[in-house]
Amino acid sequence: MIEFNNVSFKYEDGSEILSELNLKIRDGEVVLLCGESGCGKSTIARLINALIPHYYRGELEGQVLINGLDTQKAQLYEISEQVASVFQNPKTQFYNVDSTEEMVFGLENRGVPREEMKKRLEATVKKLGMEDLMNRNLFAMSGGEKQKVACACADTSNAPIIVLDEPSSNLDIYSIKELAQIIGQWKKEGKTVVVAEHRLYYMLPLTDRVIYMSNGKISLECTPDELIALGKERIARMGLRSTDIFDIVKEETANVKRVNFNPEIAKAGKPGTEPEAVEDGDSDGADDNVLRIRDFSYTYKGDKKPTLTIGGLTLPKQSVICIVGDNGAGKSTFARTLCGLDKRADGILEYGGERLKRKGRLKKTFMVMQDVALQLFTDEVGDELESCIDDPDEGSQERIRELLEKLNLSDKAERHPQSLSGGEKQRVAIGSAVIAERDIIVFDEPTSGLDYRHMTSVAGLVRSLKESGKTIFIITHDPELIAMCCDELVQIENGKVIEAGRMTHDVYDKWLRSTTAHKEKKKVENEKWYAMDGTDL
Amino acid sequence: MNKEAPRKRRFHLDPRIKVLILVLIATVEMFSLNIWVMTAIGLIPVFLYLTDHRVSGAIKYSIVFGLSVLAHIFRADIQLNMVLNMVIVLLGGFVLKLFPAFATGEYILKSTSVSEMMSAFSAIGLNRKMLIPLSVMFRFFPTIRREHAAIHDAAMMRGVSIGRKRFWKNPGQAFEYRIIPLMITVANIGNDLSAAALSRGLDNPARHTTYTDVKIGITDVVTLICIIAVVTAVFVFTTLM
Amino acid sequence: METKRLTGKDLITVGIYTAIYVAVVFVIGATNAIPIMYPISMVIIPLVAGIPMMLYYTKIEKFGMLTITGIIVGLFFYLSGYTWLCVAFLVPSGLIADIILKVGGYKKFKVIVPSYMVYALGMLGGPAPLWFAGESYWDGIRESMGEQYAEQLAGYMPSWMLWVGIGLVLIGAFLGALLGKKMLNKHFKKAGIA
Repeated sequence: MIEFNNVSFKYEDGSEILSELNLKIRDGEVVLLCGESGCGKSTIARLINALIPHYYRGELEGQVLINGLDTQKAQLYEISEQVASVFQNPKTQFYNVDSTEEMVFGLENRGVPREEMKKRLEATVKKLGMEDLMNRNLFAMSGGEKQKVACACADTSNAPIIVLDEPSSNLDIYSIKELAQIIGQWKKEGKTVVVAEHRLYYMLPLTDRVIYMSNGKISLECTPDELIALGKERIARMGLRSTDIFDIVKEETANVKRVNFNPEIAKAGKPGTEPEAVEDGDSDGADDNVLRIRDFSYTYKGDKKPTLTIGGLTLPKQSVICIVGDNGAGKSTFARTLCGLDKRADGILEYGGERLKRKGRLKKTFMVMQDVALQLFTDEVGDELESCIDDPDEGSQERIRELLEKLNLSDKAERHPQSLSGGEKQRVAIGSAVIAERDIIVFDEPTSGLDYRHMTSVAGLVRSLKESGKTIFIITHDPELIAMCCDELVQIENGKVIEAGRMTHDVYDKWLRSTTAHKEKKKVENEKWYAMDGTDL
Repeated sequence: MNKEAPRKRRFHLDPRIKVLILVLIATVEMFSLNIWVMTAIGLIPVFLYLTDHRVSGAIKYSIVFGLSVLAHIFRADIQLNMVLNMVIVLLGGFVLKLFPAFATGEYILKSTSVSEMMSAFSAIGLNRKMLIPLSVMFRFFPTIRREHAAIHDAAMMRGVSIGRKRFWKNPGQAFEYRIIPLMITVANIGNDLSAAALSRGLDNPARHTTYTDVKIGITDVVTLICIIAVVTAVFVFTTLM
Repeated sequence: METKRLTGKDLITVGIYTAIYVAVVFVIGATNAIPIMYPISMVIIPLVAGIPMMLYYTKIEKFGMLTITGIIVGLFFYLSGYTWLCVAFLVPSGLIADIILKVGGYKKFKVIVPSYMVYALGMLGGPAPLWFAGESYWDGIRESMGEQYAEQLAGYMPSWMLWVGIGLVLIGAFLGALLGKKMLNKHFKKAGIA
């Protein structure tokens, strides 16, 4: 039983995030906390696992009781036997380097004897299907695999309450499905599960109660069905993500007939089969409106066969191209090759008649990285943009001012880039691409962990970049972002392009089904595991 | 340090024995030794590399060490100018004296998993105050390498990598571009990591247990005895005979 | 809630900054394959390490953290094949650096500077065998190359090199502390991590 009695909380910077909150969560209940960023849902998660007040400092009033334990009086390690947590970022929550060590870490801290540890670990491994994730280097794992390990940690702890704080942020669709199955398993076992989350679609079938927060208060409590009954428009206005990812692409409105640039790929592209190297029909015909990728390949050090091989791919300029595919399919390698970042990568990009080798691409492209903080170098937003100009002249200050205005950053020109919010940092990085006059901008997972409003604003930004003549590549798992701004969908699996073409309802639908389907083939042995979820995903 | 868990190797030494071998090498090298004893000690890392299936490592090390031994044996015949002669003798002595320990240290770091090392440290009764920072340190090495690689990419896109014009305009600033985002990211990862570790009972005063078992087995004892026996035999044979 | 004991959070902090410190020393120390770089790295290492160390000092509020760092760095270099002198140098330098903080007060830049300078001296444990454990090494050279040659060689590496080494490290550490302080104000405080 979790009880919040008149809980108010202010972070150290003085911002009030919860006010006078009362909440009771029964044993065995699955609760979905939702709402826009900053609504207080993560704060609730931190209050339950007692990181507030023990780790994150601030002003706490009222009382939080976890199975009778007052979190302010109890020690953090006492709470940790009652509450297990899964956090948003798989990269930062593991303490060990080895996955098996990680799964027993909580038990080691509690002084559980080795035999007992082995027993619990075995049970978890069997239950969650972790066999292929044992004794592995966590650094070599995909985000989805890491998050599964994090869930396994929560499972071995045998805590009756499990709190998940935006656990799906960095996951692809398949991993989200696996996450849903794990949560379903916990529900069956009668655990209390509290999930703070933007993505609703995978949680709704599992949820007993939806709590919608705004401005630090609970503004709606209902069942999943009642939430869905509010209707798409209303849910979008509440700043929530879609309740169903299949039904979000509008039917084609454009009546312009466009050629399919890559008919061969469409023919060859069946998962599991080896597509032939695709040859473009008439590549000499100068076409200013397309960009062509020729013979991209990337071979890891020590490997004989290349990991990535793209013989030829033609795409329209000035469009939004979404690159999809499983974790480890070669999307990031493709992006690094496209941007000319890797010396081991081969290939040529033809951009409106220009033939660009690696170094040429380095000057033509810009990648907005997933961890955008890594690409902000200076101590002022204005300087950040100025440092991207090769030969500053009198006009540059004016251009910077205009650009900041466009990016809605005018009032932030003198701020330290690292002190900005995630979305603002992203806009500064985009600004550096624009000011450096790069024609091709690559986004790596730009919307992971974003709520509906922020995702929409990224989509808007992408569209306006396209209007200004840029060609945009987006590596993404986010179906809603794809539905909102994608022109061309390119699917990469096993280092090869298996689908490439104009984005339509059908293409989208096919991709969404295939992305989970062909992975599942490998997992038939876990049939009963999949039987539990009644969702149509 | 090896990030993978210990594979089932046919030949596998306990971390404590590995460290003991290193301590022995480092201690013995402190004394003035004849070239034959030094060579015998120099062969220990070759043996260790080979047991770890690192043939190329063994070969590279053997070449460097072998050349130094040759330089030592033929030092009287080398008739070069004064400075070059000195450099050769110094470098040769450096390799002869220090490389066996360097190589053994490298072998230990590469052949031991973090969890094995931690279990061994805790088995010899190392305090939690040492164990926690040590394990965090080993977990952060790959983090630092990875984040640094990403920053390198970012710098390359901005044209501030070595070999680009903009880098040499202001190398100090280029250095700042590298280290500042790295510090900020690592500090942030550290904050999240602390939160996650504490929420899993890191501060529990109960005596922590370890999952990975470390045992000193027959291989360990035999290896240690063999190494000591060979080096001693060479010593006795070359000094007393 | 505040204890004088080192908490898990403190120990993780120690681990993180020790990792960064070791990484800096390793990357710069790699240039030591060229002997001429020895004296230069004695300035550069404490200078560059000043940036992470000044950030580290903002997190130190309890006795013992620098000592642990010293022990770990010493052990790490010992295990990577340097001599035991690394441990013999780094443990006392860490301990004294800790004592200076304890006596002078935490988070005061005036105290941090001498503390860091003392701490940085511990890195002399790396090249120390050239001066200390070198005795047997010199014997070896004398024996094999002759008295005259050894004397000539010693002329290139005079004993006052030790004092030069100490001087270089202290200068590097002092400048490193200033550089670190500058970076704290310019970046880390604004980024909310200091």
